[in-house]
Amino acid sequence: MIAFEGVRAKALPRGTQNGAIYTDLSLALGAGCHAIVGATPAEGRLLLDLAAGHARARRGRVRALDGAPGDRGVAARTAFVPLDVVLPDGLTVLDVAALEATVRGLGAPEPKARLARLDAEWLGGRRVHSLSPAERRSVALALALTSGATLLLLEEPLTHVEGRAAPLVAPALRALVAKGGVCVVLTTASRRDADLAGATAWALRGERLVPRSGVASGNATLEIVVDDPMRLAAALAAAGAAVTLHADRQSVMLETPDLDGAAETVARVAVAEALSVVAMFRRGDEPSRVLAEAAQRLPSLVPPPPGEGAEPPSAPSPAPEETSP
Amino acid sequence: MMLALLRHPLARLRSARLRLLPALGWALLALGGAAAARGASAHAVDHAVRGTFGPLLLPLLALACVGLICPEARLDEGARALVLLGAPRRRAALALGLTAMGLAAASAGVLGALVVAIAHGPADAPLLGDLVSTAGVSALGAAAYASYFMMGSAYLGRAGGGVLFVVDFLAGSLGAGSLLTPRGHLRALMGGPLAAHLAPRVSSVLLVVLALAFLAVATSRRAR
Repeated sequence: MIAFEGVRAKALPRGTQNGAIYTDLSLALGAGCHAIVGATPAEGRLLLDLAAGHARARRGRVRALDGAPGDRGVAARTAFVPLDVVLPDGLTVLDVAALEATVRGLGAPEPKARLARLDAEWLGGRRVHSLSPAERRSVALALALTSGATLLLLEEPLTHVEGRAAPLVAPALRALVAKGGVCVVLTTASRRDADLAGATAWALRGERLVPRSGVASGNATLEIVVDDPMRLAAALAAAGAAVTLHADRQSVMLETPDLDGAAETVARVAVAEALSVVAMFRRGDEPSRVLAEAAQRLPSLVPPPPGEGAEPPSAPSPAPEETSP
Repeated sequence: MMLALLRHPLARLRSARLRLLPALGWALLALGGAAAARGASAHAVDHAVRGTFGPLLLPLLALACVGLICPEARLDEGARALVLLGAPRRRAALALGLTAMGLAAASAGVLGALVVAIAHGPADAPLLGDLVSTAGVSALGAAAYASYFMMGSAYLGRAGGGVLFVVDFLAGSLGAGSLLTPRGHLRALMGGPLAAHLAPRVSSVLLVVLALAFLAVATSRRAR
């Protein structure tokens, strides 16, 4: 769907120290969801700008959807959502959705239904100039995902998005890609975001795309939703339970070659530290399919009897019907 | 598609509010100048149109109109919102450029007619003919100025319009300068000295050609 052949290009935005220069960039990406992980923001943005036709290659050739990026037919089938998204500021969000459908002419559904994809229909009556940057991004992402475009270029699609829309972006991306015939290219600094979006992770090495190792190397990723992720992460790090650890405000993610062992360690540490584990699941599985199997085998996940000092975890015990004999 | 793309600049115009102030200011100044010129001399219309309105206020009005439609200065940046919705880059820039030119032409045409109507005295040419010709010439000149300033902004950013205004002011009265900038042709069409000895009819054609050429240059420029 997109191909770069020996592309030479540069982007040196005024007023910043961070630019990107490609001297011989070659890559080809077909249908599916592809994440370019770990490139600098300027490099990732330049790559997307080139694919969208917003930046020009000084040498080499860029092809998108069997045409030159920015050509009339290609532009209509390309949806680009950068971090600094701009929408027509005098129009309401619903007007923007209608205008976008007219411009693309790809038979997009009714505007309200499009916004509802990311739970953004409540923004419909607002004028664009009254939206916050995160709200603008949510609207732009909702429009891109429902535009009927064949090529989607998304810069950090899971960040800087309005709170209600944020958890819906990754499932919507997965659903779109599952339909087939669509090429989604996203740039992200987070391997986790790439996994969430169900994307094939790539890294830029020597201006060539190479697969990012991770799960492919035999490691599995375990996500634990817990009341105090930072404390759990510190305890797990001390226990040496993981190859890599990542914690945010809701959860801890650990990459490990031994999933069962790691789950056991988590349970042990959670009880010792009096942490409330809400859910624990393997990445790539649906969140509802909690690793009940491991939890059931671990008596330590059961709330300790009162009087033993530890506060009982508020998490419900995993559903028994999901356990295996 | 072009009509759909025009919704963006027209919506900007509808929600302009405070950004209308510069254009309104220049318009009020032109009307005040016309009122002051009325009765002050035998040919008050000539004084009002060729003295302050044509050489000074009309270009400034065109500059204000460009700022209204494209506050980002560069057409390419102004059109980015449309490009992100799937519009071809050049068409989107053209939609903004044409709207700015249309707005400048309409407002200058109306203002030119009002200036003539206010300043008209018994010694002046018949009112109706003067009104129509001044409105037409003002509209044509303002459209040319708008595309001229957009070209300046495309290459020099926010300062581009101002820089080209100064260039037009200084070089517009000289031989080659009067050929390549709107000032000389506009002055000739308003009854002043001819631009490089060209007939006013040729000047009007050249003004149209210049407006289109400036617009083509402005829309072809990429911001990055």
